[in-house]
Amino acid sequence: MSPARLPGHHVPGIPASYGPAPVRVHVRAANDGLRRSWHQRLTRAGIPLAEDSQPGPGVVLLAAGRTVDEAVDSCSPPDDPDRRGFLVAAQLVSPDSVLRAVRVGARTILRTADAHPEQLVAAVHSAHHGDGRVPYGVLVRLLGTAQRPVAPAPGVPRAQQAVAPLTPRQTVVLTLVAEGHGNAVIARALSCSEHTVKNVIYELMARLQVRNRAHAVARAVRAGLI
Amino acid sequence: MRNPVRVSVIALDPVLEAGTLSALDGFAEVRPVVGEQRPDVTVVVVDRVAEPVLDLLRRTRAAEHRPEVVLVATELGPVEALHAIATGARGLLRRRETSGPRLAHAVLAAAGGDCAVPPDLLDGLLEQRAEGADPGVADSWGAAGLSERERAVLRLVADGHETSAIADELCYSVRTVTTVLHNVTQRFRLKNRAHAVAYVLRAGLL
Repeated sequence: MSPARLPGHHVPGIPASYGPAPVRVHVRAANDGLRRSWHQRLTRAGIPLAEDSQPGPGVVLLAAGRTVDEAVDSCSPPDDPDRRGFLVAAQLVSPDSVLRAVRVGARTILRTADAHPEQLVAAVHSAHHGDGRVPYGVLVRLLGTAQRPVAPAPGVPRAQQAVAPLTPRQTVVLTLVAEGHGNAVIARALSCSEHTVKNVIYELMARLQVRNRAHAVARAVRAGLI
Repeated sequence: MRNPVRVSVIALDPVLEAGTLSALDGFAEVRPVVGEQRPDVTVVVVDRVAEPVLDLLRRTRAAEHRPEVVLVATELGPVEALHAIATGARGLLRRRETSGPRLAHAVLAAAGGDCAVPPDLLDGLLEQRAEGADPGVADSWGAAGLSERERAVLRLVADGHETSAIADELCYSVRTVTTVLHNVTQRFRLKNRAHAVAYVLRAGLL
């Protein structure tokens, strides 16, 4: 915990320096259940809800869906010229769908699995300021393919659509594999046994339907998962 | 509430370092640390993104506690951004656009697996798609490109083929395949095939 630095009136989840008027959030979602679940997440994070649907000073529009496309389709994106106040949250975030979301004005895109209270607060404020924030694997994929666009082979389905998402554990392990680390180093970094690392890699290889580690890394990077 | 994210700063000079640390003061979610304490995130403040900066990124990432790196640079175009994040940066900011809150958010995003990026770079992606990318851009970074032979071998590695299968497929000897891969890993300072595949895909070389 941070001692001394916390001011007396600090509200958990809201950075102290944002002053007395916290940003409020209006939720649009593909269905009612999803909208309620985001209301709960926001409330847990200490973020007040807004009834008004147009973002303005102090209001962020959060569009939620299973996929980014579903989220974006659930609302009409705000027409702020500076692209502020729009946050997109989805369970599945693929590079192509992020590109489409950027086209309609989204700058801040959050994976549902990453929306812990602190991260949610940070993402809401990033959206409020119009800052860019995208999952790392998706961003690196978008920047990389923009530099060298590869025409997809005719008849071959786009691989990035079909890939099942990884669990947080699998993501961490595969990220370390992609940095060139062996099982022993990964086990040390994650404070677990090599046996566990092997098991996680075995599971993620089955999930990604791949033959070996390099294959797993390639598929996950192409899908924007790591 | 979770523990605050521990953050350290590496900058061009001590004044800049102190200034960057103090910009993070007052955010309960991040805690600046110095010396022996292991940071979760390290903010690296540089001027231009060039090979020495990428080396600094690699060295910072290679520390035993593997901090995520947020890079703050004076100049940051699409090519610099690409190389920085392919090398492992988990957040990109321009110095003139970096306020305390923005830096704190970037640090939190990095700790959460996301990547802060200047919004105009996101817009630029759309324009590049629309116009078709300049084929010279990816190769303009010194020795950053791959030869046709290297690309052919790496493409098969990325498809999960082992050395002997790659040699059969391309009508090379096993030794040639091994040499090609060795050259690539040496040139880009990569540890093994999985690392090589990740790097060339992320850097847009494959």
